[in-house]
Amino acid sequence: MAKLNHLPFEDWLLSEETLTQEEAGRLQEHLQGCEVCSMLALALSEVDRELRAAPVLPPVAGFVNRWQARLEAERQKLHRRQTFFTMLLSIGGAMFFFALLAIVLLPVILSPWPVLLALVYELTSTFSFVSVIGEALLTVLRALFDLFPVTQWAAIWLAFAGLGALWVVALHRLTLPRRIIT
Amino acid sequence: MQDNETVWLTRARKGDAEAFSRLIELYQRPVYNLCYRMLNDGGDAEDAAQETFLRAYKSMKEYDPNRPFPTWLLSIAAHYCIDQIRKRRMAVVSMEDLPYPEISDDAPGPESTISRKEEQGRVHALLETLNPTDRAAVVMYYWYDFSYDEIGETLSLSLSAVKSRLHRARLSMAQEWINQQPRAGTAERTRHGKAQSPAF
Repeated sequence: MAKLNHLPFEDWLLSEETLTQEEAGRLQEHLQGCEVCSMLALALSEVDRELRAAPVLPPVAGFVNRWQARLEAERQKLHRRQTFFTMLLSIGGAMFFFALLAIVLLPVILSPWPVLLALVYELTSTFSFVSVIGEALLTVLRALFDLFPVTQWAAIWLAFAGLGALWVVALHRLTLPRRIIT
Repeated sequence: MQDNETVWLTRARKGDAEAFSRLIELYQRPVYNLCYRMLNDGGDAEDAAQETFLRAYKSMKEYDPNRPFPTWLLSIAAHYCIDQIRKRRMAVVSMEDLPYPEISDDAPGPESTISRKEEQGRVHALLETLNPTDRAAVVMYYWYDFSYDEIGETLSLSLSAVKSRLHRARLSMAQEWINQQPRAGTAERTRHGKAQSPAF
């Protein structure tokens, strides 16, 4: 109940807002009779004075230099960290690659003969296949050569050369950079 | 000066450390003072102020030039200090052991030093009663004359929250003041008769 009696006045004291004439009069009247509120008013004015009188403290001289040194240290730390992570990533990657390689090559290392035999077989098969294809191509070419006389072959070659030249010129014209008029 | 600051700000936003150093020269004092009032330790305040500028430098690209630079800077400092206080929950230390930064004075005699220490001690005791956010609001209100809006912007609070926090903080500090000096306060009151309200 006693607290309730102080409520508007305490709020008025604590608020920085300007009071109306009537409110100011009521507050003054209350302060004259209320020890609690008058003590609060006095304490508030002293706290205000104390805080407003306290200076804005400066840091110790050389603050900017210390900041620059700290920035440099921070940069170096970041650089070291980046280098460390790059190395870690590279070493990790290399280790992973070697591990995979080891898994793949392990059977070969342990017993190389079946693999070598398979390799020889593959090489022989490929060679035989290439020989057969080559023979077939030669047969076709021989047949074609016998089909036309030499002069007709020359004419066909010339016609192909002319078409090729025409294609190159057309391509060159089409891909020329166009001028942009602004 | 304002033109220079704009130039430095523009250059600093592009990552120019030298231009940012100029801005530090300009704002080191308010930032350090805020950190010191918040943390009440010279070393911690130096560390917090340095960290504030480092964070600000790294975030310069995010800085909105339409916003006042000191407000933005103090916002970083305040939030950092609030985090620090919450993290470490400052240990209670004896008033005599508290470190005080040196304040330049034309004639610093032993008496003035003692008086200054006492004054610092009283200010610290008042601020110590407040929670970190209220403390930051009080520092901005009393030392930098920030408006409620500016405090709200700096501490990411609504206008009503700022008013309410300052209201609570002033009550808390007044109560601490009364508890600290019960006899002195009463004697003062008796001597001067009626107390004057700060509202007038």
